[in-house]
Amino acid sequence: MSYFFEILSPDVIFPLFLAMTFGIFVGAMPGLTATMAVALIIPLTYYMKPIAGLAMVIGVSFTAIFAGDIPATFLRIPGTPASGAATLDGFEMCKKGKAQLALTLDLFCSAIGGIIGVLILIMIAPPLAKAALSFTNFEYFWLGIFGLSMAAVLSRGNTVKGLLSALFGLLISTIGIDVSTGYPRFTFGIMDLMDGVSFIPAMIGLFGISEVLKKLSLGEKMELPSVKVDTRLKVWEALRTMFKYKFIILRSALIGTFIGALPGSGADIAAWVSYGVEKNMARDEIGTGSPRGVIAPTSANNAAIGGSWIPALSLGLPGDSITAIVLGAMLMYGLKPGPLIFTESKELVYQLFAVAVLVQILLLPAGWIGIRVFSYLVSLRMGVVMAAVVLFSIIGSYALRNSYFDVGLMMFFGLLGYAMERINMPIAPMVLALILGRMIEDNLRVGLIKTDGSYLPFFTRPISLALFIFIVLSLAGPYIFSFVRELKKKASD
Amino acid sequence: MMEVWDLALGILCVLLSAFVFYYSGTFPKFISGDKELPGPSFFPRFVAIFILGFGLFLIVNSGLSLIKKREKIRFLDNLDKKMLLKFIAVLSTGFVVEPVLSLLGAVPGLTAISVFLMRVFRVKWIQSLIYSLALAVFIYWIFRGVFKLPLPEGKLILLFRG
Repeated sequence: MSYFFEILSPDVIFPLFLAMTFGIFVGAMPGLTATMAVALIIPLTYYMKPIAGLAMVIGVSFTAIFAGDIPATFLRIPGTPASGAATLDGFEMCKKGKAQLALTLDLFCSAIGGIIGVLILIMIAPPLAKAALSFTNFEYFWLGIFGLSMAAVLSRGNTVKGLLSALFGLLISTIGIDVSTGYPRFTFGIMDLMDGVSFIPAMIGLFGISEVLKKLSLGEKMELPSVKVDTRLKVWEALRTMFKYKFIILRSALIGTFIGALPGSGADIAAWVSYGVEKNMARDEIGTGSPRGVIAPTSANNAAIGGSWIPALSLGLPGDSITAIVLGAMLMYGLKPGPLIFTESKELVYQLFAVAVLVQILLLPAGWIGIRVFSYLVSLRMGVVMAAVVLFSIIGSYALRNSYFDVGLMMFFGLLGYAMERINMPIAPMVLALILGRMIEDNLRVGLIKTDGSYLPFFTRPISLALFIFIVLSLAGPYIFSFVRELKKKASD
Repeated sequence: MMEVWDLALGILCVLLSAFVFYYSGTFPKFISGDKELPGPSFFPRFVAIFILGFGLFLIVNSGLSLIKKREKIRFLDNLDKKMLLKFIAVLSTGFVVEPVLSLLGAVPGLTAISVFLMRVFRVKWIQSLIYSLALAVFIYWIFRGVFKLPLPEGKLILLFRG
């Protein structure tokens, strides 16, 4: 409880409030993602104390995910990918004149789902970190590979392209001075590359500029339809509905937290899975404007954010692109994400938990304001919003190190991100690889030095072997299942 | 069409891995005592082997698919010149930002870049001027005023100030 009062100081609350406002704006604006919001806000946190910076990140991510549900309900356009599943029944409810109820359910379920996710994070992360203290280089190598393989399997696009995206990220992570020998690798004499590819400009490019280029390629489809928004919340009706579907909220939040905790997944996958589960249970009801179809995905997507922090904090393994950026930011603040953070920066971790709970409470007024200002937001010209994103990207990249090279780097990654999306190559594995690259390389090399070049201990130690088998199964599993299904089909024919 | 891009990606992977092998050959070896340990070239080559493998897979897979479909290889079928120009315009802002900001300073420089971008995004002149100025002042206030992050002053501004 004392940690809760520690964070109630103006130098944490004011940035948190600003970040939540920004999260509402980005989340409610179709085409801008929560990841982009986090990437754009990181440069502002550079000179702040770590808890204030991390509070901003937590605030922006939870609010943006909720705010994405607003255009999903009114316009049938998800504000962020995580709101895709909420679009179906939310918009159907809107057509039936129940938009206010849908949005009130969105808001309350997001907050409750978020709280459940955060509580599970608080319960699971410390013991998991304690268990991870016994891990050696061999286990850490496989943990890193596990994170990348899961990202490749769970991302959109196909697995081969997902794995290639991760491999490209690993290759980019080798740029810069080699820690063991001090030799500069792939720097081509460019001094700005000696410390490696600057992570934050790369993220801003991949998630900010690539989105602008994508919007540009849509041409005339950039403008949003005008909409009349009734912003009154239906609190009592929503509370009654939620009481009726209380187990769905709990189930969806648990599913969301579990999926969020899988490295490389994220709020969008969590929302779709929990929506799918409800659809299987009530096929006739879901999809026709049922509150159940709104409650499930909105509880799950916010719970997934809490879930994604579990591997990030306890193992240093990002749960999704947002936590990948957060881990990059933590390194920037001089923190070491992973099991040691619970002993070296214990106070910060518990303050972080307190912030995450506080954000869920503040989400209610912030979300209400978001719903109220939505009609003004959609009246903004998309061209103005896109120009603002480019300007923020430029200044955000520049301000980190006062470096124009970083601005160019950001633009390069923007183009790369756009090209990858065009060929259905997921970006998330590359982002995770940029963060995990050094960890994977160091642990592989140190492991090999310890064993005189033998790869055997990487496969014989119990946890290493278990992780290896799990990786192989997760990569080969879908192919094995489809092969067996084909065989069965042929046999039955 | 996707097979063509897959083929291109496969070729790129093969070329990239060949480059990594060639270039990392110039890295020094990491020798401790009489033992050669995994040096700076070890991990890039380790990654390049997998990239090569997936690249070859993509070439064979997409190549076979293209042969089956008997499609002509045309990469730039849907290239829209206007769109390409807009892309170049957006990306070029990353490269003109240095001369513009160091000459004009943060607020006028950002306003100028923003007006240019909004015109690219087909916002009307007057609107783009008003929005750009407001946006530049807001960014300056947030970065410089609230978060105390340094932004360029601009030679012209410094000249006026004497």
